[in-house]
Amino acid sequence: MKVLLVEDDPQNAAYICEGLAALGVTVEHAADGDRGRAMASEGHYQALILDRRLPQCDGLTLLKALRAAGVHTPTLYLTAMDGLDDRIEGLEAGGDDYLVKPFHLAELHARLRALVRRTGSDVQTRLRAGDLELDLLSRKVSCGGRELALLPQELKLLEYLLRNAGSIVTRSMLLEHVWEIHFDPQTSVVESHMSRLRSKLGASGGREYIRTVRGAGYLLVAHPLAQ
Amino acid sequence: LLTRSLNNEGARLAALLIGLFAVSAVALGTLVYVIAGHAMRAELHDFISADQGAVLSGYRTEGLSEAVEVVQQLTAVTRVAGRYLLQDRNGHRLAGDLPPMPARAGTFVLPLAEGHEVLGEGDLLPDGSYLFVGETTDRLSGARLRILGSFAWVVGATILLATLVGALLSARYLRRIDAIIRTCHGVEAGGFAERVPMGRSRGQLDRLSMTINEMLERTASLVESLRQVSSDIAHDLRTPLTRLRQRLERARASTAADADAAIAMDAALADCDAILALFSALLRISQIEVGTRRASFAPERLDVLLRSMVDLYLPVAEDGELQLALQCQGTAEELTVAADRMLLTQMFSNLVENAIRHAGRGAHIAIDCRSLGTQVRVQIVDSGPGIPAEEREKVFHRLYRLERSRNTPGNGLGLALVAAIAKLHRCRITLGDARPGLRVTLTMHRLCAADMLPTTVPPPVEVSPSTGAAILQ
Repeated sequence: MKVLLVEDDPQNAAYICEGLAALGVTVEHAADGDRGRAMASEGHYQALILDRRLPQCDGLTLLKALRAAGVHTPTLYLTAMDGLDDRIEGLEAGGDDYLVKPFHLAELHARLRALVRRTGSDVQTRLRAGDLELDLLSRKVSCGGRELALLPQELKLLEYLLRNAGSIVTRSMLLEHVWEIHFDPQTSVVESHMSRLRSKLGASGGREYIRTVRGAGYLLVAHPLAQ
Repeated sequence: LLTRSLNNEGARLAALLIGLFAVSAVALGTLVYVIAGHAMRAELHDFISADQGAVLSGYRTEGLSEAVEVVQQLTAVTRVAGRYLLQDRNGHRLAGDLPPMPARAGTFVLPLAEGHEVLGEGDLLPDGSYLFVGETTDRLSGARLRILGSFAWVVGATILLATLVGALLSARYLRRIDAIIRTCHGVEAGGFAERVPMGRSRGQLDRLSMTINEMLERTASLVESLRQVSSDIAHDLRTPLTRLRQRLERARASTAADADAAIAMDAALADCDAILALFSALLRISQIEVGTRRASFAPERLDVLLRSMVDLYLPVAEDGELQLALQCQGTAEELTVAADRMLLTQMFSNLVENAIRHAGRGAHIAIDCRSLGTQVRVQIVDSGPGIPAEEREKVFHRLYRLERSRNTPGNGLGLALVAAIAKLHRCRITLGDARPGLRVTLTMHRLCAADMLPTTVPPPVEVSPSTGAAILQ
C-alpha cells in the first residue's frame, strides 16, 4: 500500500512515516499544502492522509481543489480539532474518514486499510470469508455449513467484519460504522457484542473466527472451506 | 385571528385610536346640535316677536278691532297654518287659525294634532281678550334631524377612517415587530447570522432594530471568537500532547523488557489520554452551550433512538447481570422531537451508562418513553443506590463527583454534558428518588409540523446491501 501524507509538523510526520513503514506501508511525505496538492495530483497513491491545518492552504481547501480536479483518492483527515462540526465539515469537503490527534498507529493503519478496501467492490450481495457467508439480501448467515440465527445488531457487526476480513478493525471503527456512535462509551459495549457474536459463530477446527488483536482491535480470520 | 387581534399591541392601539376619534366626533356633533338648536329657537322667537309686536301695536293704538284685523291679515298670508289665535274674554275666537284655548301667558309649546307642535307666546290683553302667536316647530325638528343625520354620517366615516388607518398602522407596526421576533427566534435557534430588517425612518422601531442588530453583531462575534479560541486551544494543546504521547509510546516500545518502567509508561500514557479526554469533554460542553447546533436540528423519533440504545447496551447489561427494559407509549408522530441525533444519542448513552455503572449487579434499569399531551417524557429508573437529595442538583455541575464514586473511572463531566445537551434541546431534566434507586426524568416538547420544513427530514438510515454497513455519513 502506498499513501501520501500531507503534514506540516515534522515530529508527527516522522512518527507516522516510521510507524506505517514498520507496518509495511510506503509513505511519501509533503510538508505543506501546495506540495501536497502537486504530489497528490501526479502520483498514484491508494490513500491520502491529510492534516486539517496546513501552512498556505488548509486541508479542507486542498481536498476540495483535488476533488474538483478529479482526484478521487480516498482521504483520511488527521486533525487536532474535534469540534462538533469539524468532522461533518471535513466529510462534506470530500473526505472519507476522520481521525483526531492523538491517535494510535494501529488505528490509523486499520482505517487506511478499510479506506483502500472500501473503494474496491461495492456491488456485492454476498460477503464471504472462507466457510463463513452472509447473504446481504436475505440476511442469512451460514458458517461451516450451519445456518446461524443472528440478531440485527450482530448481523451488522458481522457484515462490517466480513467487509474487512483479514484486516484489523478497531473499536472506534466498529462504534462509528455499526452503531453510528462518535464518542467513547464508558462501558465495554463493543467487547460485549463481540463476545456474543463470537460464541454464536463458534470455532472451526479449533480456531476462532474472530481474533482479538491486543491493543489494536479485532480480526476476522477466514477458514478454508471444508472439502 | 380574533384572539390574535385581542392579544396584540397593534390592535389595541388601533382600538384606542378608533375610540378617540369616535368620542371626539360625538363631542363635536353634540356641540353643533346644541348651538344650532339655540340659534334656530332664537330665530323662531324673532319671528314670533315681530308678529306679536304688530298685533299689539295695532291693539294699543286703535283697539281690539284693529288687532282682529291684523291677525286676520297675518293668518291670510302665512304659509303654514295654525299660528295665530285672538279670542275674547269668554273664550270665543275673534281671529286666527287656532282653536280657542284656555288663556295662558308667556312662552310655551302648544301641542297640536298629529304630533305637530307650535312654539308660541300668549298675552292677556287689558280687556280680558287673549292673543297667541306661534310658529310651528316642524322646521326646528326637521333641521335637528338633518343635523343628527349628517352627524351620524360623519361619525360613521370617522370610525371607518380610524379603523382603516389603525389597521394599516398596526399592520405595518406588527409586521416589523413580527420581523424582530422572527429574527430573535432564528438567532435563538442557532442562526447567528440573522439580522432584523431595517426601515427607512429614524423612529423608535428603527432604533430598536438597530440596537438589536448591534447586539446580535456582538453576540455573533463572541460566538465566532469562542469557536476560534476553541479550535486554537484544541490545536495548540493537542499538538504538544500528541508529541508527548508519541514520545511515551516510543519509549514504551523500547522498554518492553523492563517491567517496572513499562508499567510507569503505561500509566503515563493513560494519564495523557485522560487529560485529552477531559479537555475534549470540556470543550464539547462549551460548544454545545453556544447553541449553534440548533440550526441543524432534524426530526428524530425518540422510541427508535431509545430502542437502538437498548440494543447497544443490552449485552453489557447482561454481562453485568443487570436487567435493561424499554417501554414506549405513543404514536411515531407523538414521539418525534426536533433534535441533533448525535448529541441526543450521547445524552441517553451517558444516562444509561451511568445507570449500568452505578446500579450494581442484579439491578433493574427501566426506560420508559411516553407521550404526555404535547410533550414526550422519558424516564430512566434504576434500582441502584440513587443520589442523595442534596446532591441531585450538583451532579450536573462540571467536574462534580459524588464522594462514593471518586475512585471509579469517569471525569465528572458525563452529567454536565447531559445537562448541556438537554438545555440545547429545551429538555427539562430532573433527578428523583425511585425508592430505591435513581429516577431520571426528561421532558421535551414534541415536534409540531410548523417547527420544521419537510425538506429537513433526513432520509431513513438503512443499511443497503450495495453500500455496505452505514458508511460514514
